[in-house]
Amino acid sequence: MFIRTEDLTYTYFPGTPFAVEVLRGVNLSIARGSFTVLLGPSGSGKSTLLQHFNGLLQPSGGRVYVDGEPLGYSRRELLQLRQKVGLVFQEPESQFFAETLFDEVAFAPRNFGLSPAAVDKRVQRALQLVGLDDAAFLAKSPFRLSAGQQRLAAIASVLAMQPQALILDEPTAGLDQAAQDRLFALLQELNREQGITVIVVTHRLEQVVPLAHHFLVMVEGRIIMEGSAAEIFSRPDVLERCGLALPPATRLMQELAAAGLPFSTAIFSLEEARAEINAWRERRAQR
Amino acid sequence: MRSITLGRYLPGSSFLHRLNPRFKLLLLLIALAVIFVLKTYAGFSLLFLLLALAAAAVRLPLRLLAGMLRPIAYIVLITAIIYFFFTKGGVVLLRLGPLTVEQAGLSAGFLVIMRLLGLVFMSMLLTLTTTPLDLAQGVAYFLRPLGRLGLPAAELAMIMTIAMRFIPVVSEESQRLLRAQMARGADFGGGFFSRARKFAPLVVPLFIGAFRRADELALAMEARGYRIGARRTRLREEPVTAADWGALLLALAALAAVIYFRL
Ligand SMILES: Nc1ncnc2c1ncn2[C@@H]1O[C@H](COP(=O)(O)OP(=O)(O)O)[C@@H](O)[C@H]1O
Ligand SMILES: [Mg+2]
Repeated sequence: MFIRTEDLTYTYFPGTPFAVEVLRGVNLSIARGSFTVLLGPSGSGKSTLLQHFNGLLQPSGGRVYVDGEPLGYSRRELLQLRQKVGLVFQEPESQFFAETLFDEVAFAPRNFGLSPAAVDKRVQRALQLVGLDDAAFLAKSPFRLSAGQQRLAAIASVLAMQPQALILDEPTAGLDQAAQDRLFALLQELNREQGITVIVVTHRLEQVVPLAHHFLVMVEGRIIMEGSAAEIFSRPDVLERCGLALPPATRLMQELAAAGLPFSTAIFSLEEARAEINAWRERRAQR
Repeated sequence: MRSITLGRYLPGSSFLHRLNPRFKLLLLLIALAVIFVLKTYAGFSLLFLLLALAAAAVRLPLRLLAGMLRPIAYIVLITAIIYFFFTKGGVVLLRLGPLTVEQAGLSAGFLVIMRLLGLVFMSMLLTLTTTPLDLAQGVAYFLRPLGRLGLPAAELAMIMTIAMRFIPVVSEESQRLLRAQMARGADFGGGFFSRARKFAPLVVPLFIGAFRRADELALAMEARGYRIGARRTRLREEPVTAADWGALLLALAALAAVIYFRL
């Protein structure tokens, strides 16, 4: 297991009248190299949970393990951890400060004290991964990129640390469809080709289902359900509590199956639904 | 980073919460006058007893009180030390090389500690029991007469209200930025100078965000018909009750007593 938590609890402003208990005993395991989706209604504590994985927040109770080791919170240990576990905040382009895209992406590797040559290589590699490696981009202000490109640049600025795990908090928020597709393609490549462990909070079920190995459902500071897409989608009532609807193709197949047709309900995209229906029509025509 | 900053509102329904914000501002003004007139230990003991009762009525947790006093402890201490050493008169109590602490210095130092603590404590009680918005509206009320002198009182009030409204937003945003840059390996520990050098990754995005929000707010206000110089009424008028007048009279009586009895 790459990331594991044990009875993790977290309270903002403990011991004051402003105390909010946000995490109430989270137990989860995330396998190395897996693609995990964290679902949950807003305010359920997803962002708070993610910030425990790279030590930005220190548990009020319980433990976090990364790579089998319980986290330590000394300055040196934290710096190492943050290199290992990259966290992309929500709307990460709001952190931009540098004059050029190069400097923005170089921020993290420079913080880790790499040589200029090594920094250069890291930046090139990260921008290549997200597809912003055109030389014309390097000297451009990050603020002058399009919204989709800004999001990719922000992700590149975390990838420049060459993390083993990449965590993204609602990475598609505010992007148009094309930019969302581009982003999910990137996540797929990072996970499948680069072997990076990906953890993502998203509400775009249809797009993420083909990529995901594992789903976690968080409600009111607890993981109330986990499993594969098929397992999660067999409980539409739970999804509804998260303000999520089944993908239309899944709902269609569930309704057809309920009407007595011999269809699998573990179907998440229109393509799969079309194949399933066509296969059934052929079988029927042969009879 | 987790400390509760000065100027935070503590929701509640105590006597102090329910007083009219305008009257609370007047009370604070009178209380400040009391503090600067007071000069005996007996007087200060009485004052802090009253403040302790008020804190209990507000249900102010001790941990919160300690947390709020900590940031100013240094200022109080340093000021007091300056008074200890540099106010001369009376018996020499302590000699440190060329420096001496004399009796007048000791009492001046204690006085300044009492005054500063009382000042902070009372301002705290005000901000803890009054929402920032009510506070701004209260100040605006007293600015209103200045409108006749050509001061843009209504606009100043609006500026103040907006500023109050956005303090928590900006403070939350800066916390978020701090953590976001730390996720990219920024290390904001270390001494003051090493921290100042690492300011750009925090300050630049903070300003960009502030300008963006200001733009959006201006647009939203115009879209809802805000015009400079137009007359506006408030949706929620704070009523003035007998308790408000009673508190004001009591405070004035206390000030008179302090002056008359030379407390
Ligand atoms: N910095 C903070 N200070 C105080 N409370 C917070 C802070 N961040 C989040 N919260 C509170 O914690 C709860 C969970 O927030 P969050 O982790 O952002 O949930 P989600 O990401 O699932 O929407 C919310 O009630 C929110 O108000
Ligand atoms: Mg969130």
